[in-house]
Amino acid sequence: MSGAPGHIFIAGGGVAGWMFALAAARALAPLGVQITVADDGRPDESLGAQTPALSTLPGAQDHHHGLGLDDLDVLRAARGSFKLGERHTGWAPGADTVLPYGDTGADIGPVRFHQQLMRLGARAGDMDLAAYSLAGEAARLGRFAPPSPDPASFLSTLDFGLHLETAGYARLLRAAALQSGAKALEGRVMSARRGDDGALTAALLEDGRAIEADVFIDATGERAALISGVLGVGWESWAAPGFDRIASTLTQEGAAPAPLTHNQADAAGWVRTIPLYGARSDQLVFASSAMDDAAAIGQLGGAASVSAFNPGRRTAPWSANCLAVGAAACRPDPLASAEAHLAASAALRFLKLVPHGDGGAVEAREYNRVFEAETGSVRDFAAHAYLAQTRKEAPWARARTLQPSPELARRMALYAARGRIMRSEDAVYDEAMWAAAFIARRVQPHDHDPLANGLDEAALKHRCEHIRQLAAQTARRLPAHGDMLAQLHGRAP
Amino acid sequence: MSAPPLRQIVIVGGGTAGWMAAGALSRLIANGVTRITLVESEEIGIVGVGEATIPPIRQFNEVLGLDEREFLKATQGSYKLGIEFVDWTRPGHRYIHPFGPFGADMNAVKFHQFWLKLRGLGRAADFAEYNLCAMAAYENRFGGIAPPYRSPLTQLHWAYHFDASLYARFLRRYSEARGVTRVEGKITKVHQRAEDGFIESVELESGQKIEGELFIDCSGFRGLLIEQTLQTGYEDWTRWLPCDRAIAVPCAHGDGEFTPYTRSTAREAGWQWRIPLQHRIGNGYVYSSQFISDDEAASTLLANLDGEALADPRPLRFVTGRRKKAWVKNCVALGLASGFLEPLESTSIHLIQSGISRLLALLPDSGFAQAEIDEYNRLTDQQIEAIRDFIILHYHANERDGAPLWDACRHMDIPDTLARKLALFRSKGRLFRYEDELFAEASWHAVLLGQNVMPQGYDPLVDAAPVDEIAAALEEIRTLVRGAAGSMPLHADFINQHCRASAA
Ligand SMILES: Cc1cc2nc3c(=O)[nH]c(=O)nc-3n(C[C@H](O)[C@H](O)[C@H](O)COP(=O)(O)OP(=O)(O)OC[C@H]3O[C@@H](n4cnc5c(N)ncnc54)[C@H](O)[C@@H]3O)c2cc1C
Repeated sequence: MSGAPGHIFIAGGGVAGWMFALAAARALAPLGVQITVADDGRPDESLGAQTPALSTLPGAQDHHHGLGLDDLDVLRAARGSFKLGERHTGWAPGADTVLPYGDTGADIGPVRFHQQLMRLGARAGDMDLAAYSLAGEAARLGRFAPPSPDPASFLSTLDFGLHLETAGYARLLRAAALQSGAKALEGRVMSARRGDDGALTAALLEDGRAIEADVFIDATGERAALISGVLGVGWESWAAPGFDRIASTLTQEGAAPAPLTHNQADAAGWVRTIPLYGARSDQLVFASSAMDDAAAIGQLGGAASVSAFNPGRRTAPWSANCLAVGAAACRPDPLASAEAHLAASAALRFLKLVPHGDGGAVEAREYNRVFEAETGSVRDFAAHAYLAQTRKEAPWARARTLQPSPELARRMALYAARGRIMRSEDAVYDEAMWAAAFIARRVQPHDHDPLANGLDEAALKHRCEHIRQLAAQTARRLPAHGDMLAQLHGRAP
Repeated sequence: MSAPPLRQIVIVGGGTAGWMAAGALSRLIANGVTRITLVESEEIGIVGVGEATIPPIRQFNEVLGLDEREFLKATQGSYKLGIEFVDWTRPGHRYIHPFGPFGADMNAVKFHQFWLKLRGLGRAADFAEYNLCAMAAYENRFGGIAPPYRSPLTQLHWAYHFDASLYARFLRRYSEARGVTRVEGKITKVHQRAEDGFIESVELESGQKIEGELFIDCSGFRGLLIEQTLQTGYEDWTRWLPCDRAIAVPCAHGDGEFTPYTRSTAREAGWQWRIPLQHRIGNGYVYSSQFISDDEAASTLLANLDGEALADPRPLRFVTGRRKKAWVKNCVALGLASGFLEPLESTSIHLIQSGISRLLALLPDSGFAQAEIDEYNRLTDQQIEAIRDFIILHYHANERDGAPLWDACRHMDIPDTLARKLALFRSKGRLFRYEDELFAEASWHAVLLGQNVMPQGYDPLVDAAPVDEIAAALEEIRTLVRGAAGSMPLHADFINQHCRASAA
């Protein structure tokens, strides 16, 4: 017998809760599994407090496809815009760099593109990778077109993420989940009852109701009502020393959004701007030692609010019959762009490992192992930005005392030697994204790949120049991002 | 600024490992500065028994720009679609570990999950019937598929069998044409730099000294540089992979068919390989000296040949395990010098190949960076451990009750990584892959199910589709696969037509 669980109870709605509900309902409702979401109707903190908008990695499209969602519907529901990469300003004196998505240049056999540029004498500070990337050039010009499925077309080298308003996204996920057979219940989960074996037996709501189930999903955000509140599973903090507060605001905006998320470092913290259609979200991550909450609110504008910021992860997100998702399991630094990715991959991974009646200890161990590798990669990608920045102010100097994980230390040593990047397990960021990050963060390796020396210099120069021109010319012919969106949304911003 | 590129790479050893390295490096490091020298000793000779490969070998040949048919002609080669395991699960039982996928995943649920459900209902055919390589192998076919059966579900995957001595000779011609200098002679001394122990030169019996900046140790089991000089140490895996000897003998083809697959037959104290080439069949008995004498092993082997023996049986000794580090200072060990997993899944040549590509990805120049050396060793460890686990599985999951070697293997403590894999599979047929794992899920499924490791349940997502629909889908795949296999030419005919070697 297969023995799927009879009732899956999801504590908390929001993007994390409803995305899980949608995935579970699509796969399990046809088997007669009951799926209930307790939604308290408050502002969505399932992916972490002060997250009014999401800026996703490429691949969100695949997740949507897997959930039976049309990207265009998602964009419409969530005041969405396209994201061709990330812009970083001020992380080093005078630095303003774009980290583009999709292909940058082209490898020659085993020789990576950035190695080719270094062979031609480019240094970290002056290497403009984005100029060799269609996404980078299109972003510079504020243009966008979906990539071509034809691998022979240069248009196929483009890739993109999405900018989405969290509330609109959650609404869409909720509607789709309900349509697929999930049930909603008004209420706020406060705690749970446990059986003799330590497993949860019933969720306890604020209004006194108790709801029994076989599997409990904790999507209550950083509150972590079940995984922490009931089961006491620990939290591993990743915060860069001193960066302990986060403020955010969502404001109306009439201008056409840029197809880039912008991360701007300043004396006491940094601001992440996610451009939406008709609005923009600003998040300010800052050090309380250098700026108080009132100043932060002042900087973002009157409607802003502030919370504690403690990025990190749960030591074992699947414990007993309770699985934590969203910020209850992992709160990434916003710089990692990973909130939506982690929410989707948690749901998909769970579906590959749906437990039996026996509690699923074997499955839980495997789930947690992969979770650890995946979130480790998210932790490292953001941590490196704090380590590599060269700002002089006290909070930034202190942030550089962050201890890199052994994997990140290894990655940095390897890049420092000859600019090399090797794959690692369940990496959320591919080699090209790491290369772009190292370069955007101005890390200068001692040397480049000796294999690049085998390439003929004149021919290589010519080839790189050709790619640069191709990127510039192709980008110029793409439609304006604002026009694309006006058509998509069927209205002015 | 840049350290100058390497001026001299010295490869020690001219077996499969040495010449594969020479071929690839001469092709890919053509910078006009780096010279490559290979030293080998005819007196010492090569092991030369590694003759069966797995599909990634085709990428290696492609990088070198080799023409498949020319290559098979030059090496008396044949095609390989998988390995048949006879008597492994229990006497009288056989299964095949074919290349390529089984069936096709549906709605993001793995194919074998559907099969598990139908099997429980008595409505599934043998697992192999959903794999094209398996079906073609059983019919001794290889080659093009007739148009009506061509589909994404009928993509053939293959590797080769070849004569290892001829392969080395073939790669030697290739490498010499690209500027590799071959030096014949026996190395008797190795000179190290006083300050840091880096190898400076090797000295031949004749007194000739060959200097280099990077040394690739392909000297076989002895590990002339990595062990005898640098004393790196060896991790013994005999507790999991108990065989420590082999006896090998070629024989003539009998009356049987020209099989496009390797056969591995379990024996009392180990197992016997059978590798069909054009001019002969390679055979060997891999065994544990704890459970059988050398004479008994030889007579068992000779009693189980397809045709007459073509040479005296050749004894070999080994210790399964790995060198503690494959790259130390300026010395990288490849091939048998870096360790030995027994040849059950034809992985040694593949390990050579992936060692070479890792070396190219991390190629040093005259400055050596420890971070790169560490990365090389880390990736090497990961890869070999995953393969080790896969091979241990074959020994561990047996039902050969009452045979001492097999009883011991069934009851041995297995590595934690494998234990976790088995637990997950036993529960619901699920499998998670580790980083850089060579064998795809299909390979694990083939061997797990082949050796009767049956999950207690299957993935509940399977129940979302009506049984009759699943049964119809599986039947459609089975019919397509059978049709496609049947439409291929016979392996013997294909070889005769396209890649027959001139008489040996
Ligand atoms: C029983 C058995 C079966 C196998 N079956 C398979 C299989 O089916 N598939 C597979 O992929 N692999 C198989 N292998 C492994 C495969 O044979 C080896 O990986 C492959 O042959 C590579 O060997 P090598 O080049 O490392 O070493 P060798 O072939 O031993 O070559 C060593 C070289 O070093 C030279 N040398 C050594 N010392 C000196 C010195 N002092 N001076 C100068 N030169 C020196 C020798 O002359 C020789 O050229 C098998 C191995 C064994 C033992």
